[in-house]
Amino acid sequence: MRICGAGWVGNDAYGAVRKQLRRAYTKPRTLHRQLAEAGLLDGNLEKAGRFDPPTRRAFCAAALALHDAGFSNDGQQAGLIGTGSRECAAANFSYFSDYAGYGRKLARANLFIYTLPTSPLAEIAIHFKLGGPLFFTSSLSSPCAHLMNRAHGLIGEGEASSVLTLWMEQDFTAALLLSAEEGDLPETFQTVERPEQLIHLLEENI
Amino acid sequence: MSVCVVDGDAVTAYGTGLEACWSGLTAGRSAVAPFSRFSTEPFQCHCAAVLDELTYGGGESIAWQMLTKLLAENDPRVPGDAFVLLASTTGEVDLLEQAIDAGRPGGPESRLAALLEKVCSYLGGRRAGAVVSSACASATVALAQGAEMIERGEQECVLVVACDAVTEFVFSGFASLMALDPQGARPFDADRKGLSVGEAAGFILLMSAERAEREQRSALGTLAGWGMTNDANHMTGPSRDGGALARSIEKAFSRAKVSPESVAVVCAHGTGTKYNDSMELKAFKTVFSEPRPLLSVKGGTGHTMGAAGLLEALLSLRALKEKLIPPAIALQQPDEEAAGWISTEAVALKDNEWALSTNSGFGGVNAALVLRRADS
Repeated sequence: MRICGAGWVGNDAYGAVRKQLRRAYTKPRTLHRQLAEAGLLDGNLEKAGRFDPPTRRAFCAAALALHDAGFSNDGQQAGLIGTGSRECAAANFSYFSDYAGYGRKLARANLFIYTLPTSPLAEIAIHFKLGGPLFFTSSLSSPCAHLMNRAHGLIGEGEASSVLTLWMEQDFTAALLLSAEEGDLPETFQTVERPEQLIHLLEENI
Repeated sequence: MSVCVVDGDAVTAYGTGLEACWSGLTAGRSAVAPFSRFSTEPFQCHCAAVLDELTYGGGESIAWQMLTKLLAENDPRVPGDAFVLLASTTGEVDLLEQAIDAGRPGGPESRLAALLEKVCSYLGGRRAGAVVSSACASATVALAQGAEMIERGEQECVLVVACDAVTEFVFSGFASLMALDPQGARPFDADRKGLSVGEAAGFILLMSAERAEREQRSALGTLAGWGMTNDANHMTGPSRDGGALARSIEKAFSRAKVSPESVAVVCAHGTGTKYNDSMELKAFKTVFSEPRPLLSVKGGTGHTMGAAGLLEALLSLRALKEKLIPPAIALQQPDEEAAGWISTEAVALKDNEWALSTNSGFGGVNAALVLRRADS
């Protein structure tokens, strides 16, 4: 596999590895607009206003990875795989505490739709028109190796021509666009335990 | 490399064991009924397919109670080296409900990874495993991933465990989307108004054909093909034309190296929502040159969400074995679009070698499995 592009979003900075981009930001709620103004994100962003914070961060990291790769959508064959130890815990808590807090009379659909681990991936697929397989997976050990193996499987078995992987943790989200071409994935990625470590490793090796 | 389905079973609202579910379906009996697990007074719908014997709001989640029922009987048949894939959408989210009601922050104990650890521990520990979640196609995607692991030589044996429960969290959410039919789900009916939520837990043990032969395991069937796509269209509704689902089906047939004409039965996702059922029929009509009998179970089992694909794969294999498709429960007046595909009566199968089973879900996910009868 080849890493075509890598993007990341932390608490106060974002970046893209191949383009050696690293910028600070201060307003997480409007990060997508900042990326658009910087020419790093195209398209209609009207719906991005409704995203919950983990989804917005994943969406922006995906945009940076695709920009880093110079991705022009060839349509339907790009897959999406997400991982992360928090799953959708924050969205679950927001949804049910809101419902319970309002006397169990009114449940909010706009909160409920983010209560799946795949919800951020779905928003990304819709915006960037990625029509390949889409799922969330997390392993009991070696999270990075598991994520890469599943992406490798989809590409190797012809399920997807490329795969966008999202590693979503509380303080950092890393996105990688992987393709079937001969690879430059460092062997040491197998032992990486955190998304920021993965980005650091790629910055050193690409 | 061929991937064998060497074992499988399920707990549903019909009771423990696939036999209970099959008997209920063939008798035309629905497990969707009024229930009292939590108050449904604020909602437009008051029925679901639940296992009444389970305790809600106690120390153990509904999902875990179902899983322990299932695994207690089947644990001895699971090899010690089986890689575990857990498929679910919300897992033990009722533990989060309890935490919030008690004023605790909650969180970690209700995550899918925590449930996976419990499953592995129950099965004797020291197991490798992973969570797979893809909305209501979770189990279908997990089966595809398990088969892929075997085909690529990563694993010889994969245990796919799937579960989802009827909780206030899930029920109120679907109610907020106005997705529940007050009368109970009537998939493919002209007057259908939505789904009924249901609960289930199940497992399928996948094994390479070589190992199954070496261990002289009898098989329920073969998982011969799979395909996955995304609509990239809408967070909750499917694309109207069924194009992405059709692509996933075509991928599955291509991998299985079998033509659609060989298929005896199509197990549809069939939720009972206007758009899902219509989209599915459009996809089927894209792939098949003439109607195939549909196995539609959610009028009986309810929509078992992340477990649906596993339950329906088992029921597809059972239909092939019995040469019989149970009647579409709750169907009264088939939608014009479904004419020739769906029946209120049981259908006897003549050619019964191959089945197609499909599922779709929120975020536009689609997944298809091509299954082959065991003795063919």
